Amino acid sequence: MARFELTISRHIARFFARRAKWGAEHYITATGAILVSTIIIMAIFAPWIAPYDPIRPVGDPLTPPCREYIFGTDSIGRDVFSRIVYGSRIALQIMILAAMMSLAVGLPLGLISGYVGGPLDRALSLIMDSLYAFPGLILAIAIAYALGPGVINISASIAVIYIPTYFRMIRAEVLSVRESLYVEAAKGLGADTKTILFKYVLPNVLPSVPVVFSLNAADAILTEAGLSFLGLGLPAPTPDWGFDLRSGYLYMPAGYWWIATFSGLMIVLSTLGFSLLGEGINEILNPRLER
Amino acid sequence: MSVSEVILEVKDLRKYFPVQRSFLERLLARRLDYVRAVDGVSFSVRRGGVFTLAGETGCGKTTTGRLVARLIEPTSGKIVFEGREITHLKGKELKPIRRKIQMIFQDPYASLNPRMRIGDAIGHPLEIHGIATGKEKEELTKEMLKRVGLTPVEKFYKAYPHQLSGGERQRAVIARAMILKPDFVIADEPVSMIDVSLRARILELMMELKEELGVTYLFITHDLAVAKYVSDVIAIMYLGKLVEIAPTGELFSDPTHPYTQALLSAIPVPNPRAKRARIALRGEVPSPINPPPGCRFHPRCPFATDKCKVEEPEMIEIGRGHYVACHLIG
Amino acid sequence: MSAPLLDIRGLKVYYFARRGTVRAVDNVSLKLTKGESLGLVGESGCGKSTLGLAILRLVPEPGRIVAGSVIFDGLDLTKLSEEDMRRIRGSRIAMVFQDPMTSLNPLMKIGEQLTETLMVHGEADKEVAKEKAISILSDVGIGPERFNDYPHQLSGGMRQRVMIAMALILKPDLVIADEPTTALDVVTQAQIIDLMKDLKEKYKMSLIFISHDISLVSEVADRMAVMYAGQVVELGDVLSIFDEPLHPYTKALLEAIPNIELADQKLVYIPGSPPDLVSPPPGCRFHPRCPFATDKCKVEEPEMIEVRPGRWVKCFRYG
Repeated sequence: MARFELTISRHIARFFARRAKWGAEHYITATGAILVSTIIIMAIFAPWIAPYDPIRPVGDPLTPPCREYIFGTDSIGRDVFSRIVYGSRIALQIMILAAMMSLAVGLPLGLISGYVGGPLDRALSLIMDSLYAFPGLILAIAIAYALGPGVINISASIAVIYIPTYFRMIRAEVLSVRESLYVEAAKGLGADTKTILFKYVLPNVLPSVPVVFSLNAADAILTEAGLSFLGLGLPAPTPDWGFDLRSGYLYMPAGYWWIATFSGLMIVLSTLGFSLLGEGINEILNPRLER
Repeated sequence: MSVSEVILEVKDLRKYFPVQRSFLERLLARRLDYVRAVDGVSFSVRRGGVFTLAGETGCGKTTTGRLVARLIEPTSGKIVFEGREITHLKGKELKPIRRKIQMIFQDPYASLNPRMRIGDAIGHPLEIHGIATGKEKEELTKEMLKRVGLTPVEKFYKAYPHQLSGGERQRAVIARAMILKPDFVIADEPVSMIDVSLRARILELMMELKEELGVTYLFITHDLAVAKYVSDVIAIMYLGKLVEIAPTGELFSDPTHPYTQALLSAIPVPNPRAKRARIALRGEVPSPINPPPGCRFHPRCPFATDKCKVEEPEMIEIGRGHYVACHLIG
Repeated sequence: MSAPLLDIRGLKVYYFARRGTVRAVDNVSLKLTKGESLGLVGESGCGKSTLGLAILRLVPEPGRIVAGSVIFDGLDLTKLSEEDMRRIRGSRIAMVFQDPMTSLNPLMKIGEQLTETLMVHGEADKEVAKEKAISILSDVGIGPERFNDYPHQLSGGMRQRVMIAMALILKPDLVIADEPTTALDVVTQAQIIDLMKDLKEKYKMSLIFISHDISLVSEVADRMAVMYAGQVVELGDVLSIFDEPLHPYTKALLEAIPNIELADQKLVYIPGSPPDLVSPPPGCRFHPRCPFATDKCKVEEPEMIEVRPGRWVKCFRYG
């Protein structure tokens, strides 16, 4: 789902690559970093940034953006801006939790599967490929439905979607590293499998992780928003961008645009931010745009 | 000069690699094809010298080196090191052997872990074999760095491989191999990827360490000029088999096998006036998957007889330490 | 004294990489007369390959010809349009690369690649094209029975012969061979070198032979240019350079090569390593490694001086 953002960012990158003094990857990373840090700051300092309590009505319902309520109020009279700000906390929590859970399962499995090979590898690859074949959101829906609401459950259901991604990527890297001369040299020195895995394979496989992590995070936000949109996310009145998008969406035909728009915008910006950050870091670590 | 003992003996060593085939090919074909990379190689190496395996790309010399280093399993044959058979040792039993047999690789860019500092990389063998850790390991590593000329020591200790030049990396690889004070070092094309003007430095270092530590070398190269410079004994390989073994001087003054003769005549010499009598060989090196019957070299040999086409020649001794496998001799 | 076929003047080719500007070819001037073969010798990173590519305007991004001119038969190649350049490539100047596997189309039969080349460059008659292709394949030692083979069916040496045939088929005035035998085994290498010497005679072509192997170059070339760190440091006929190498680098290089004809050789090496072309040393680029370096060498760059007719050196020891 974040693939669309990926393509955009690549085109933007190429545009800048031709005229930038700095490498384009620096612009991409910088933009991404700014967006991401804004959201992080928003999350950490929410109580100070948000003017109102996000879960209680504070004004007349459906007030358009004005000086008192910068982003207006929603159908119950809660301040949209405050909800957006607090929503970042939820978004970040779930996203980081989901990404970390995926990593915690996908990385070791990919590492072992890639290095050991054989029937274990074939079995795991088969499982992972099947999982990967599922459309992400559908899978998340199924698991979320089974597990029920709650931050950890939601994170878990999202995490499952990305385990195959980590698995495949790490496994691919391990397969190539496994054949490299320095691993053979390590065997020649007398190193055992454990040492080789941790000192020779893992450090060379790890650099590809931050990028996938970042892109993963981007996708996770979208998925989470999707789940909330479908009503499988966190229960009301938790401030959640997807939820607000959902509720605000119903009011759009009537002309009350601010609820859906701002929450939607936040989803886009956060996804874009993480995508750009991921792409940028990728370019810096593995330069491709320029020789 | 006293005859030193034999440190390594290789008997009828073979390594066949199954050829990769597509699914359909596997269904339809009846028998598997093999790349006969090493096809019945026997030789012995005396302690303290430099024994060179020379030949063109694909002749099997690198595979032989890796077999002796026990990085790959032989298909058949025996490897006897210091009187003990090491052909099929694995795991725990193999580890003490690894301390005595070390390897230097061709590509200095690829044989060092890009994520490991040079100091850590060189000191790592000490850790693996439980010889030294911590401060002691650091001391020994720094000594080694100084010995191979990677100074200032502090700078190189902390550096990563990508910060070093090709020649420096190769010296680091040598340091890593030598820190355990091995008895036997297999050097696979150690200078092929180094600039010409820097090769002598590496070769000199290797020979100095040989004297200091009493190391025996199995030197693998396609460059006969380098072989002449460093070796005591040279063995010429062709298509997985040995065709001639001789002490260096004799190999160059009296090359007996037709392939050796052709090879020597083909080496470029830095002398524009040299009138080379090139021995032209017909054709190209055949595939090691289905080598020619009889003597492997017969399709290209200017002297091939009918016998050569059907019967494989045995390796016979024609002089002291001089062996040839050819029907025309003896 | 006829005008030179190729006249390179003050050529500079720089690569604009992220970490800085790599001065790959830095003010090189060379002349090549018709029918002559010139060797370009040097170690990795000296700029010889870049120079070869620059003549044909094939320097890859982010490299560019920054200054100088390449005058070929009266035309300045650096000023031609890409379209005009394309007409020159292959038909008037051809290049033979190191790795034939990547330069030949793996999906096209070799005979076809040759006839295709002919027809793209104006040969209308298919039969005539085929005849010419067969004839040139036989010149390079490949029989007509291999006309319909694909590149992967041929050995490395044969593929390289096909490359040479491709280069010669349009009867170019100049052939640039960049490490044409490096990927081949010694025996095949000798065959290809002998082939090139024969073809040189038969086709009367001018040749630029690029290699890191000075021994190989001495077999093929009449004259030789020794390159170091993007510059030509010595230039002259091959015999005279081998008899009396003038530049300290050339001297050291010759002493660093193991020579099987010598009984007791003490190999020499040059301390240090080749300079970083992003920030080469000031003055003479070789001074950090030169046993004869003086204070002047550290600050001033020596000019290319003609010590004797046709013998040039870039070193303060000669004026």
